[in-house]
Amino acid sequence: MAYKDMKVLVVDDFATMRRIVKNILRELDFKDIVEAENGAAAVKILESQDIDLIVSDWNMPKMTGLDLLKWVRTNEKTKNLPFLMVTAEAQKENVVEAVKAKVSNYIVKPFTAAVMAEKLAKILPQN
Amino acid sequence: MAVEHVPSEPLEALLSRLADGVVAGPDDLMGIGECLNVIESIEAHENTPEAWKEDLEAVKRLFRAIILEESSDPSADWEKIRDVLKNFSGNGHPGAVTASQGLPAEPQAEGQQVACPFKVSGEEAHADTPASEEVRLEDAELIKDFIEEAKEHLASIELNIMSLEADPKDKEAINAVFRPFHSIKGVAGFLNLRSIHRLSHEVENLLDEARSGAIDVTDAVIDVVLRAVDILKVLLQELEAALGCGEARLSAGLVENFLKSLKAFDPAQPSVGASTQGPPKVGEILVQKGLVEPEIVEQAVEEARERGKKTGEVPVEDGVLSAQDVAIALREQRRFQENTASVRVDTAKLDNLVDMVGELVIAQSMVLQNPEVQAIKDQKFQKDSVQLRRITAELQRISMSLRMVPIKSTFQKLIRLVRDLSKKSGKDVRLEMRGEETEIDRNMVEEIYEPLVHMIRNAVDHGLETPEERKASGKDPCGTIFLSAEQKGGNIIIELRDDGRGLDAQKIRAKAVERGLIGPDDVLEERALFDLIFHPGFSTKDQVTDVSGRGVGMDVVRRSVEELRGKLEVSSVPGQGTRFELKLPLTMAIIDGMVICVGPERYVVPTVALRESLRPSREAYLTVHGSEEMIKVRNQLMPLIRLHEMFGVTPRYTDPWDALILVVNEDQKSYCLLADEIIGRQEVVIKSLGAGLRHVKGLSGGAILGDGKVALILDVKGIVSGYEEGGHYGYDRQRRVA
Repeated sequence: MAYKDMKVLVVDDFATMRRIVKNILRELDFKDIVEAENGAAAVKILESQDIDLIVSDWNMPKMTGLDLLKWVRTNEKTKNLPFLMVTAEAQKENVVEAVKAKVSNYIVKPFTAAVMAEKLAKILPQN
Repeated sequence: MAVEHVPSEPLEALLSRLADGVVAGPDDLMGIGECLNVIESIEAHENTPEAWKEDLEAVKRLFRAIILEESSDPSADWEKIRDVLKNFSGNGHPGAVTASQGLPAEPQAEGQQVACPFKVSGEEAHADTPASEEVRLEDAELIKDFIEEAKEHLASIELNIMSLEADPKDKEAINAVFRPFHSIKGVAGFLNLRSIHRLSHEVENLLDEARSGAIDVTDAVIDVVLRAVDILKVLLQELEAALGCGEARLSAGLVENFLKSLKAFDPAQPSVGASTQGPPKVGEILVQKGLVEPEIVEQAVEEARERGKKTGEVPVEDGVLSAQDVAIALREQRRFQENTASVRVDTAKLDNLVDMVGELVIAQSMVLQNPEVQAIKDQKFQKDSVQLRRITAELQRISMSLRMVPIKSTFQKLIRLVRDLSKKSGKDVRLEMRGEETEIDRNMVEEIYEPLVHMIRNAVDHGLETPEERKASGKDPCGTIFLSAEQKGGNIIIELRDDGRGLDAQKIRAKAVERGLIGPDDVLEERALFDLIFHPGFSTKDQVTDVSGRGVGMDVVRRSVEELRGKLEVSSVPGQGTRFELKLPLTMAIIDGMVICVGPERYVVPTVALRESLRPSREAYLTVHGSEEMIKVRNQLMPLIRLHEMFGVTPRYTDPWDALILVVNEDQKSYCLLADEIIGRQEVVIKSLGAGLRHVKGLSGGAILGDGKVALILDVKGIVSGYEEGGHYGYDRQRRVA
């Protein structure tokens, strides 16, 4: 599936941050982008819509990115979804924690469109 | 450990899963994650030989390095991992001895953090950062959104920090404070706002330590966070102001200074007592009781740690101590813990106690001042009475301190106020506080809140200029209100200062003349002129605003301060700001007074009200308009108030030049109180006069003096207003002296 045909879910509690991520995704030719402001809101969207890629922040109120990831991986409908974790906490334990919870990959803030493209290429190999 | 979900899987099955695991390559993090989970299951498996563990650890380290992109040669590492995993499978025997030779040993730099990509961009190179940071604003709209959102988040920090203060261990509250910094940092990274990024990064680190429990959320930590919020606000303001012009200049110097102080910051320091004064260790108690030698305790502590036992258990097991000894020590420890806890006491009981201690002090001096007792020359008696005095004095000090609470709670409430006012008025205001630990009589805490609110409102509305005005006069566009409390002698001094425009003497003068408060030709010192702002109905602000309202205010403020037997003074430097000093007695229970004598009666004049005392010359006595009695003190005429007439006693002297006058200040005017003599200055415990006498004008209470006699405490305000109204006391102001 080409990027332009994919539906991306961007999860972040900070609206400005969502906008930045969206801008970068648009640069990479993504067209269909939906947003959620925390894990709980993301779950609702994932249950009701067909999402092809999740780009989620780690640190959010109500439901963190890690909790969202765990939910995604245990839910039949979503368990194989590519999940890109956005993190600023370049702390080893956190990232390893996410890997153990089967994150597809992670990206450290701040990132450029080029870095995002590189990460996506790893987790969306068919493209 | 991820063992729970595969509790009964045989080791062989785990090993084959590890070998057959589909890990496509170093980029396949999901495969790696799966591998890591299996490895941890193997590690935790009961049948796993000890010898494997080293290799498994090494594989985990390699995986980690690959995950974190720290590996210098990922494909080589990948090969190594595959070799080891291959060896683990098959016959279930790790021929790992050979394979592990190529594996890394313990990481060389333990605890080395992954370099934050932002940090690489020359953090260190900016050691001597210029005082400002120039930022190119490429996407103005995005930055505008960011400013808006960041401001909201900063506001939420201030709210959440209140709940954090209430419960410093509240993880959710710490998180709620942490998160906004985190988010701001993230976006600032993208927008290349270096100062904001660095500041929020450092505070985030600090809070992260609090989150992990490495440091406690002390008051000092909260102060640091609030200061960071303040600085962030300044930076955002600067950013916002520059939105139109495509380039912003941020006060990097502010951040620099803050980070410097943060480097030297020790979160535990201001509350040393709290953290180190825990209950004594059981070992310490045992040593103190002489039951055991310190060496044995040390040994026991060591062993207990090794064996995973409690300190007390080891010496019992070793037969060094009986279980009973240890039980006693434990009991003592518990008692100590209970003692350090606090007890809630009904304030009425507390007031009663303070009252009774006051009585005790008085009863003591009655006994000791008794001539018969004073005649005793016995040395032992002398020594003992000194001891008694010392004990009662200490008892009084302690009982007074029970009523004292830190002023902090009041100050904290003002943080919010300033924030709200700042928003409402469109002026950027920073509140700096000092001396929140200063203790104040609990009855007063509530009472000073309103006056402080009023003064802060005034400072924001009248004192501080708009950001534009401030910038035009070369000031920091963000105004500062400085609030501090300290104890000085028997008083609490609360200072409220702003760095605004200061009082305008000309304007005050014009207004006062217009209102008829002073004559157009009156010569007033600057101080007296400033004092006019406390006059009822005085206001120089042309517009009534949402913030401080109409010209009701400063007179009310002064009145409420005076009701607390305090004093309020103002000073100001044009262009530099205004300073209010609020002087309050330490406690409402005791008053520092001058004991005076009128006829057979004794009265106490609160020293706050007293300016001076003197014996006037015959020439200084005048009558004005042939009726009102006046005393001329240094060319100033002051009305004479005859206390003996007011209270209907027969004085020893009726002529002022024989007697004494006490000059008191009330409502910017001075009055002379006529008294026979001054007995001395003394602290007295205030007693209520009871329901029947409560509303007698001119009296505020009673006190028992050292000799057991009662003296009435004068209420200068009441006396003056009684005099001004005239006639109320059945006396007129007619000239009494021929």
